[in-house]
Amino acid sequence: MGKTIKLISGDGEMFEVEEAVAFQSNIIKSLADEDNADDCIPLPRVDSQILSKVLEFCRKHANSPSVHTKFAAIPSELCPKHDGSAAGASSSESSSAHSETCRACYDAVMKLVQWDLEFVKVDLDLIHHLLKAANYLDIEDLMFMAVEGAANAIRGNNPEEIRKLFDLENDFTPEEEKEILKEYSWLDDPFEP
Amino acid sequence: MGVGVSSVMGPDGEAGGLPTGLGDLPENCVAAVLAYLEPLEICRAARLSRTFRGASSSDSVWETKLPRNYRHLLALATDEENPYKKSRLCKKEIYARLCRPVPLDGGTKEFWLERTSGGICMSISSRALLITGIDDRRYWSYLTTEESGFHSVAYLHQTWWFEVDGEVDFCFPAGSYSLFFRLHLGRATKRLGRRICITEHIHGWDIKPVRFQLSTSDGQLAQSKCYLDKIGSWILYHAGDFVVENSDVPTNLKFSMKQIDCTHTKGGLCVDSVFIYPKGFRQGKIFAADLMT
Repeated sequence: MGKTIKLISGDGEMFEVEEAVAFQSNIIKSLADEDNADDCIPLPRVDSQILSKVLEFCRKHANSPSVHTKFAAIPSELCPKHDGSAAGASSSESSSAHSETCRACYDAVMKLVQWDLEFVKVDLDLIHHLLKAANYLDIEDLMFMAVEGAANAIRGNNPEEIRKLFDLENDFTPEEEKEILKEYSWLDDPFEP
Repeated sequence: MGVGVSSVMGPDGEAGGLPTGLGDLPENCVAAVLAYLEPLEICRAARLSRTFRGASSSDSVWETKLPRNYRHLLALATDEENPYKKSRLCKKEIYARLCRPVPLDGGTKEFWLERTSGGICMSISSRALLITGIDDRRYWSYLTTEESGFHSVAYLHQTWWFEVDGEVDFCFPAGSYSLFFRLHLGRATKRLGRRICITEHIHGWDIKPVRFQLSTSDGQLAQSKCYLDKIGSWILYHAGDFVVENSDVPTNLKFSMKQIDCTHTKGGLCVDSVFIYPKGFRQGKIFAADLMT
């Protein structure tokens, strides 16, 4: 196990994870970069249930290129087939050249994408928590997946269901609701020749 | 993306009393989610909560729905809104404006944004078409009708040489489009409040097919032919498709329909307008393209 970081959830649970896992979060990374003698980072606003889900995602994505946000080429040193033995290949050998031709890399990326899709399908009411956590901790790939998962949760569900899933309160006054209907009336009134 | 380090400790940096939980979804997150949805879904989402309402008006969401060349298209909408007000429209308002038809060429053409898909549509009135013999009242006349978006259609009594040509020069957003002629065999009128179709002039369409053609300035060509046979309804005859690669370059389209076999006359046809829709949006009367060498 490489260098580890200790994370303390809002409800006092301690998670010890490798740096590569924790540093998926730009926030955790920047906090750790600060002079932190005891390598213990408190995350008072994230409870253990959510944090463990987040770390599950990060564990899967550690040592993987950002597959969603950058559609990155896989540097050859991360290629599962080459197993780091492509030390001879210079990093300037365009990474994209490598992954374009490397079937193993392509398959690895596809597998990861599939895993991610399954990950956000489970527990729809967890989605908005993951979204908030990803935003708060600044984890790009999780943010990407959670946004897509949340969009799927909204699509095709009625307002009551969506409010339940997202813990939303209908905080409009009746006047405001009328205003909104008016504001969007242009969409209800299509010009159809 | 992501919040500042200081908010790890609390939303507004309150001293002591750390809040638990991540609070409500911030508006920027909601906007990121809404950007994935279709316009209708975004508008429905506006009714969920104040945060959703705010996010559903955000420029970042509507920018993804507007056609690439929306600034150019908006500039063509030189209408009642004064230029100052127009320059202050947010992206959502621009979308809404473009959903209303924008007249071109003295009102003989119109384009609009199709609200659900964000694709550009266009209609070209019969007045903007070059119809052979249109000035000869033995052959053609204009009829006023509410069944046309332009309130007027060209009606053919009879002719040997049936030819309708048209041209349009426009910056279509990149994508694939289909062009249709909207035609009606017979003349519709109202008797005692009911719609009836006068068929007395209809003849000649079953002898030879009408030939449709469409070409673009960059060398695309579509040709097809079809017998006109459905009487009493408006039919969209699919003339062909074209592809636009670059939203910033005007596409010059030339299109025509002809039946110029002079061994027989034809008549009893209403020509309303030409329609251009994003490919797949409208299914007209489809017939196999006939490659003519």
